Formats: sequence, structure tokens, C-alpha cells
Amino acid sequence: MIFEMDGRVQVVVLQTPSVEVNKLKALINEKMHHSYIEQYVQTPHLNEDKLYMLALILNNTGLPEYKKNQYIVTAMLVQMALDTHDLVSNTDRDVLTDNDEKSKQLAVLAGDYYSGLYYFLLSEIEEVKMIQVLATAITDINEYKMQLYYKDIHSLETFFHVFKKIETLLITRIAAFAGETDISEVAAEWLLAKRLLNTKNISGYSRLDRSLGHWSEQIPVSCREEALHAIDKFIHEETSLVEKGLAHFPAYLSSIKTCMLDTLRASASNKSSMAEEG
Amino acid sequence: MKLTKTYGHLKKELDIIEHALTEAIQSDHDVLRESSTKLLQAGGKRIRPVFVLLCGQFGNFDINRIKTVAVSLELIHMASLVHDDVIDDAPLRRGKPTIKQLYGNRVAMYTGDFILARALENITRLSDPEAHRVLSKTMVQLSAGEIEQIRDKYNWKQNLRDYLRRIKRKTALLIATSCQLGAIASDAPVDYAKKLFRYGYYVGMSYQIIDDILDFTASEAELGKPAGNDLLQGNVTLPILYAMEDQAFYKLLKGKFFNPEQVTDSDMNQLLEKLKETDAIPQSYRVSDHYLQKALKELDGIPDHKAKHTLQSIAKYIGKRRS
Repeated sequence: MIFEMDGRVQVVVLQTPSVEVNKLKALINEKMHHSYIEQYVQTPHLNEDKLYMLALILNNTGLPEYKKNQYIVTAMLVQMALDTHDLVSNTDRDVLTDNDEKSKQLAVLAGDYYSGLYYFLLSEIEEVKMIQVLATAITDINEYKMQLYYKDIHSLETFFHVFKKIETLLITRIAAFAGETDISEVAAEWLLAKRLLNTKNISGYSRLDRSLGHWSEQIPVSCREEALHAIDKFIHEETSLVEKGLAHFPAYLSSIKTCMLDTLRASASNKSSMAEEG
Repeated sequence: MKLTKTYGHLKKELDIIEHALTEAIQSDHDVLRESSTKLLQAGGKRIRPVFVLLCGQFGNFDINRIKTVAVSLELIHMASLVHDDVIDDAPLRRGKPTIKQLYGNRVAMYTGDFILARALENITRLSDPEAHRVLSKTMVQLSAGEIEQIRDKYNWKQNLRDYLRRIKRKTALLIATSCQLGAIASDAPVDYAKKLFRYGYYVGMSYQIIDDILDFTASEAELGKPAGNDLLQGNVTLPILYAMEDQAFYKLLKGKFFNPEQVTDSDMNQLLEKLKETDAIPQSYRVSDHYLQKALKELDGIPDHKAKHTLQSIAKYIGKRRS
């Protein structure tokens, strides 16, 4: 894991990378592989925290291995499709170089290609209900994206609430679909806390940019300082919510509880076992 | 005669589909609802729903099932148009400002993703695994075809096979799938579904070839964009492939497009004039007609029915299309 601290680039050796997560990553990369797209599009980093959480949730179900894997792969394909489309900026064509222009065009098509793949893979195993769950999540996520884009928000609290929805809705919907409603909400809090914790050693406004990605552009310049402070407040709130939620976890979820607590504490003490997203 | 006249008797069913399309794009977010509605209201021939409706008549026609398929196919088509306008940086479509032009690329991306997801959400009302396999495979191929189109831009070395594969994926497959899914949704015999798929495929190929011809032969007023625009964008279409067999044209083309950024209106006019001196346009029409005849032949094995006659009329209309 590479991150910036006090202006210096630091490398932290990942501890005990989950074999399962690595296998899933390889599977997703294999499905996404398209040499021409890769030549021109800097595809977003695969969010390992989301992958990890999906594996945790679905490992807890009685789903057969092939189905569980296909659920995870397709959910991550949807995530990559959405994230890739976020790379398409509003920049006018006239100011783009030929290569940038091609990269923009292919980012549009890459996202569509990944969406098609998610539908195709689930059709192959006749998982019509899951196709619907993911499609509904995509429509809702896009509605939330429009809210942030048009700044239909009046406080930083609302901003973080909508941001959290965009970041976690896909996972919580899958958890609910898999019948893991006990985990669903806590999973969202864990994901947000992890995301914000992953940037805790970054100083200045670049922390804001790394925490919120391109959504940080939606925060007015006059509110950036306040937003920076709000991140710590939200980390604290989300972490408390995770701990509170986990305290009420039923006994059969004890192994998940341990994993979630351990990874969160590791992130807080900067010894994350999961790679931070790029 | 207008194309819409050939299927005028489907007005009642098309109204039902139009209403369902409006319902499908509703959103809690004002701008998302507005942008999707603008797109819907921009119109279009609704040719994919028409094929679904017609091909759904060869089994047990159930308007609810047919509507589900037709709405999803039209939404997929609409979503691809929104994203295509971002790719092409197009300010206008059918003479009206595009979503990208009105709201910017980012909103166009969200609108396209939203509409596409609505299409998939809607189609899951059908539980038929075959319908999903067919449609999902087509969607992957559609994107792959568009990626190929970008890759092949300004590639003067490509051949007829490259072109045909590209237009198959870009246009013909979605029309073929519309026909096939209409048949599948009405539980028509498998043999009919296969024939109707091939009919749609051949009609789609013919349609796209004529579209590519019209890019050179129709006026700017008819096209809503300058003549030769495909070539200007670097798309090597059938007329160009044939014209390049003429050494004088090939030399002129290579010279003018040595730096594509610097191609002027006068260069384009010169190229269009030169292209018309070659046999490219008649040759392209012959290929289009070849596909059309194949489309009509596929209908031979389909029972005599009003829908069959309409499919024949549509194919013939497409063959005669000159603007």
C-alpha cells in the first residue's frame, strides 16, 4: 500500500492479504480484461474493502461457491462500470489532446461494456432476481449522484450521508438480498469509516480529495476547511456506529464481527490488512 | 410513403409502449427526470418496439410481455444514444440539443446509466432465461462493436469483413434481438424465432449500409449534419471501402487525411465529388440489396399473417430509402 504522509510517499507492507480476496480480484480482472481499453483507460482501482465486505457477507450464506463468486464478480463489475463513468469529465473536446479524447471515449464504452458483462454473467447462471437487485441499486446510486452533482444538499452532514449512500448502496442491497439484513447497515458504516480512515495520514486538502474522490469538487472552497474537520467527526461517528452495531450482532455472526473489528482497528492504527484504494 | 405508415395499424400498441416508456424513466431527481423525458420526447421511429410487436404475433401475443421487452430494448437504445453523444461530442441529435450539450458530460453519463439500469430492471419482469441470455449477449457485443469502431478510426487498411462485423454489432444485432425476443416473449416456435432473428439481422445490415451511403448522398438538411460527416470522424464505411479501390481516390483521401485535424470543408467537398465519380455508391447499394433479399427470404418459412406482410413492407421500405 502506498500513501502520502506529510508530503512524503510511504510504503506499508500489507499484512496477511486474504487469499480469497486475491482470487476474486484475479477473477474480476480476467472478466474485465480488454487490451484496447487497457491501452487507453486508466481504469479505477478495484475497491478491496468492498470486495472484502462482499466476501464476508456472502461467505456467511449457504450459497454455492459458483453463485457466491458470480455475485461478487458481477457486483464489482457494476462498481467498476460506475467508477469508470465517473472518469468522464465535462472538459470540452477542443482542449483535449487526441489521446485524452480517445481515453474519454473509451471510458464511456468501458463502463457500458462492464455493465453488459454483469448482465451477461448473471444471465448465464439464470439469476434474474440478482440482475434486478443490481439494476435497482444502479438507478438509486445515479439519483444520489445527481443530488451531489447539483449540490441539492444544505449541510456537510447531508453531503456525507449522500456520499455514504453512493459508496455503499451496492453492498447493502446485496446483503439485504442475501438475507443478511443484520450486517447490511453495519457494513455501510464499516465501509465509510474504512474509506475515511485510509486517508488519515494524508495532510491538507489532498486528504479531502482522497477521501471523497472527485466529489470533493462539489464542496465550496469556503467549506473545505470545515469539511476537513468533519471527516474526523464522521470517522468517529461511523466507528462508534460499527462498534454499537457489532455489539448487537447475533452469535452466529461472531466470526464476521471479529473480522470487521480487527480490520477497522488495524486501519485506525495504520496497520490495515486491506489495501487502501487508489 | 413514410416508414411509420407501414406500421400505422400498430398505433394502439405503440401508444401503450410509449406510456410505459414514460413511466419507466420517472425519477425522484428533477434534472434526471427532465433529461430522460427530453430524450424520450425527441422521438424516433421506435423501430425496435415495432419489430418486437410484429414478431410477437407469431406466438401467443400477450401485450404485457411484449411491452416489457419492447420498453427495455428502446431504453437500451436510448441510453446508448446519450452515451454516443458524449463520445462524439455531439451538440445536436434529430435537430435538438443533446443531453450532453444541455447538462454536460457528467449528467449525460448518469442519465445513460440510469436509463440502462431501468431497462434491465424492467426486463427482469420476464423470468425466461433464454430472453436474458440473448439480450445480455447482445449488450456485450454492442459495446464491443463501439469499441472496435473507435479502434478502427482512420484505419484505411481495414477490409470488408471488418466493416461488416462492426455494423453487425453496432446496428444489426439489436434489431435482430428485437425480432427474436418478440418471438421468445410470445412463445413462438423456436424455428420462427431463429428465422425472425436472421430477418432482423439482414434488415439491420441493409439499414446501416444505406445509412452509410446516405452520409455521402443526402443533403445537410436531410441528414441534420454535414454530408461526409462519418468520414470526417474517421469512420471507414462501405462506400469508402469501395471508393478506396480507385487509386486516384485513395491517393486523394490519404493526402487530405494525413492530418485529420486539418481537413477543411473544401477538402471534404473534393473528396465527395471524387467518391461520386467511382462505382462506390452503386456497389454499396448492391450489398444492401443483397442483405434485403436475404431478409425477405427468411420470411418465406413464416406463416401468412398481417405481421409478416408488415415485416416485408418494412424491409422493402428500407431498401428504397433515399433520404
